[in-house]
Amino acid sequence: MGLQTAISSALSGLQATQQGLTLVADNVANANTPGYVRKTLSLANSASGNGVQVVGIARELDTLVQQQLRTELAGGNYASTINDFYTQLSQTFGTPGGNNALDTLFNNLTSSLNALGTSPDSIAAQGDVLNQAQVLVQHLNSMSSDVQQLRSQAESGIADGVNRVNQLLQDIAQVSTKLTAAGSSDAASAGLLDQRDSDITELSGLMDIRVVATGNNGGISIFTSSGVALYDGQAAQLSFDARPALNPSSSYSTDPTKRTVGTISLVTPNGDKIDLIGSKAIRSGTLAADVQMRDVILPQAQSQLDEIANSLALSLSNRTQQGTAATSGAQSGFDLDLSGLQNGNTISLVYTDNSTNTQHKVTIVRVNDPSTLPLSNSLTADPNDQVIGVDFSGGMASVVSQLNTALGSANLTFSNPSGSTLRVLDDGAPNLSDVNGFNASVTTTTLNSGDPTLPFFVDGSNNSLYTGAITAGGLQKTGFAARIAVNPALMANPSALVAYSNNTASGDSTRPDFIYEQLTAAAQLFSPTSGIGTASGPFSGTVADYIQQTISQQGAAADNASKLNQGQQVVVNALQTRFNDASGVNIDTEMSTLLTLQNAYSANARVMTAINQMFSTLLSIGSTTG
Amino acid sequence: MSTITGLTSNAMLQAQMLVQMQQQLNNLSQQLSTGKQAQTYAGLGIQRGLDVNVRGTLSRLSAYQNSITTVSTNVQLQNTALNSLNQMTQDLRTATLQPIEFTLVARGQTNTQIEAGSDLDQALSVLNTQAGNTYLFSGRATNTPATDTADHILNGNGTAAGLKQVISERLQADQGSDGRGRLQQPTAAGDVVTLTEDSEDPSHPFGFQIAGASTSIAGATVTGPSGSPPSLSIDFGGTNPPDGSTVQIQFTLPDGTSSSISLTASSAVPTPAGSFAIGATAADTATNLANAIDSQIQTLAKTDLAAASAVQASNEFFNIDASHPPLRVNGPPFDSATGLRNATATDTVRWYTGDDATDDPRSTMSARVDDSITVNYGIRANEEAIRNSVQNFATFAAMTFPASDPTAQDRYNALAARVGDNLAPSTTKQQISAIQTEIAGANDAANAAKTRIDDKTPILQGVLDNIENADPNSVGAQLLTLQTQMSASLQTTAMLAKLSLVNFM
Repeated sequence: MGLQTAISSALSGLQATQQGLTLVADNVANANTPGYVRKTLSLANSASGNGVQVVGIARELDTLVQQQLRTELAGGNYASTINDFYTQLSQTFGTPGGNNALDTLFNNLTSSLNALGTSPDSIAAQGDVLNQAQVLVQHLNSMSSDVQQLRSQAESGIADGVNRVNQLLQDIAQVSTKLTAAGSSDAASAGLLDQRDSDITELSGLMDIRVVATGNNGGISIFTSSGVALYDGQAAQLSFDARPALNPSSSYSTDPTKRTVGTISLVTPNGDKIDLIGSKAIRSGTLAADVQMRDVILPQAQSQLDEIANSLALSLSNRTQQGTAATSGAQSGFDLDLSGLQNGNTISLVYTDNSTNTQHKVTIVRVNDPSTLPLSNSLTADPNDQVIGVDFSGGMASVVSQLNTALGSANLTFSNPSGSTLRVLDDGAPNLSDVNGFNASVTTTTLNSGDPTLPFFVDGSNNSLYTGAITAGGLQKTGFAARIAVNPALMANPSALVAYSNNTASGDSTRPDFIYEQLTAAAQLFSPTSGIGTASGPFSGTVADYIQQTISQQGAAADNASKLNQGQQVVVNALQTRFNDASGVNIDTEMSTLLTLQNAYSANARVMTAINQMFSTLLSIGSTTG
Repeated sequence: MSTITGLTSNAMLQAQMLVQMQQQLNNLSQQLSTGKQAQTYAGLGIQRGLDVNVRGTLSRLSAYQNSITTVSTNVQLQNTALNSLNQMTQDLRTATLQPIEFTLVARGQTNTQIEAGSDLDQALSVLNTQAGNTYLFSGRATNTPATDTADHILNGNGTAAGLKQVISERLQADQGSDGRGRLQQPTAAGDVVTLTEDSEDPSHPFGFQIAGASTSIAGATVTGPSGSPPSLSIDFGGTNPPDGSTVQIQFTLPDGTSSSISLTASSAVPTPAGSFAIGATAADTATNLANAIDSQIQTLAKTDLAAASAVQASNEFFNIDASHPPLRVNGPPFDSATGLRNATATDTVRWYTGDDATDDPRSTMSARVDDSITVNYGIRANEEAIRNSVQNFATFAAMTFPASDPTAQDRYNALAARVGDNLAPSTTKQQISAIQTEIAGANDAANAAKTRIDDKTPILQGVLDNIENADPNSVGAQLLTLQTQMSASLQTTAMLAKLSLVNFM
């Protein structure tokens, strides 16, 4: 114990203060660096008992808030990405009441039809109907292409996101390796930890993750919240096979041969490949939002547009072919001429099972390709019918045999009395069944068939007839909104809007009235796959109602997304503030630390000066005597 | 207690909040400048469904307004046309009722006939009234004129016969080759006089149909008409008719009117007109009566029968629709014809060229004027009331009277009387005013709908405005609040920035 010891204590004090100053300088410099966590000096009495010793650099980290922030950040990014998409999607529906709003265009069409009904012979009125119809379907086409463009945008969003995830995982792996080498608590490792935390936070914005600390050395593992390991000593590699441009029939499937959009795969270190979309491993964050948009929300918007296009076309083109009563011995039933029946057209059969006294409804659907069978019951919107697909490619004999196989157990007998006539009979004397109704919905193929129905709209890809056909390639309805066009034959001959036969009088408003009624007054069921209505309670209404419903539903969804986003941003911001309060740099705190350090430095220096003087005094004793 | 922190670490967040406020400010000022709450359906709030719905309704109402305007215009034009047709009908009828003045003015026609000719021209012209390119009296065939021209109707068009030819053929068929109106020459056997219709076909529609007879001769009996061909006999019963006793025979004419001849027994010499001479015996008198009847029916065939024949020919020419073509005498020869045939499109002019279906003419033009109201206001020119006027104008105008013909005046009088009767108001036939009432009903319904729409539109527009429009007062208030908030925020930020310890060291 002596002056020497005191000097060394003061010196250690000076050194510690200098290190403290370095940290203050660091903190102030990084005050605005994202992810920077405030560092403080951990001091302890020197092991020798004299002076002060710097035991480490502490990161002022509130890990609980950090964890919460990461979770909410995933949710926040999810909500904001969805909102961004919805903002764009609602633009395609136009300004309320604006010239480009879907409902305005539809209303213009029905108004022009009303005018045509009043003046059927007016060439101007005929032209106006065609113009309005043209504008409406072109708008459907462009809305459809907007929706697909947004899907492509989501697809490339996923690709970018996956790239970023890979980079971040690589960074995390590298930093973790360095951390293990660097040891625990020096300034270098604190910086590395900051960097890693910042990477993890960014990662948590892309997808929902869970971080687990392993060992005492700052080791971590990262999992998706569903439990798939992303980093566990080694970074997992994600890959995404992006498709260039999506179209309405591009869709996700867990079966790779049927999948026509990209999927995120993870190759585990031992070479296993996991489909992260199929296994629903990503549930939140930007990536999940992109996937949700691409696979659920936008396809639903597309199917709403398709449903509109489908009902526009079929409600004008399909006529009901009534069955005629037929008997054979004690059996009674109906004959139905199927000569006009097209692929996708339906036959409706109603029969009563007398043993239970219940009425059954069967919808028989024509297909031309046996590979499309069997058809799903949800093909029709009607929840109470049984759907039976029948392949017509084998001729009437095959049709009869298919139907007898399908419905023989219901005590119904099908036969082909002549030509393309289909006969259905009940069981006769045992009276176990009764046939109540048998008719078909047949697409009219020409403009002047003598029936008010007409192929007003066609499938624009090759101007082919739209019948709602079912082929091995899928449903004709899929993406019809992108292809629907006004029949070019009608464009070339506008008078066919009135002339439903070769000798229709020019003032005969039968057809314009029919079209108007079909669009504004005839109720029909709409498929619940579009997200409007449910399987057990499908939306029933007019085409006009459905369009209104679509706009309303899309508007509500966009509004909802925006509100959710606002709410989520408030949560994220609040957490961010709390996190910053706890872990961020507060200049005032730093300045007061600075003052303290200054004072401590001065005090230590004062001690040194004092010791120096004391040494001088001590040394001067000899010089004055000598 | 919340903590107050300096700017430092939270500067970013505070800046973000300021940016958000700035966005709100932009949004509000956009609302103020566009007057609209939102530029997308998403921004309309929960009332967006109602908004879309109301827009649909407004668009429909405006379409109905346009339809109503069209209906009103069309009905007014129809009404004007029908008014003038009605006026012509009444005027011509009045003219035929004037004390008959038989003065042939030009081309064998009287002034009244010439008036009928010009009425026909005018009637056809008003029936071809168009609203834009739409013919209003053609039923559904709105792109074709309702009628052919007066010239074609009267004189024919190429190989297609006109009214004059049809009348002339019918006249031959009605008068018969011997001018006795398809009756056989009356015979006397003993004191029995017999009058028999011709034997070509007992049921043919031509000439006189014997309706009956009466006599004041005591003891005489009238038998028939009966048998085939129908025959009528007057048996004096052995008594020679005394002076002044009468015999009357009634006939039904082709147009359904009747006519009769009346003969008085007379011993005056020479026998006065309208009498038959009383002979030495009843049988002699019977012979005289038969001769007198013969002479009278030949005269009547040139007067009443000829006029009735023309009226009937005209009926058969004009009363047409999809299932009833014009009827022509099946010939030649016409004077011994036994029936009518359906005319073809190439051999006979169709006066009505519009849509000739047989359903309700009103339903041929319709307009939807409200959600559940469709008004029907179509008219076909071949409707009974319109056809009747045109037909009688044409009949009167088609006939000519040679000045040299002694029967001309009687024939003219018979024709004028028939035309006058046919043009007279009747409770059994459709009247022009009835058509007018019906279309006026349609117009009234349309106008009532218009009033409703006029009432409804501002209310719905109000609903829409409430949903879509930004209330400038409320936006202004919000702007003010936001402005206050922002300046407070900015000021606080500035104060906090100054409050850093850095400034005090």
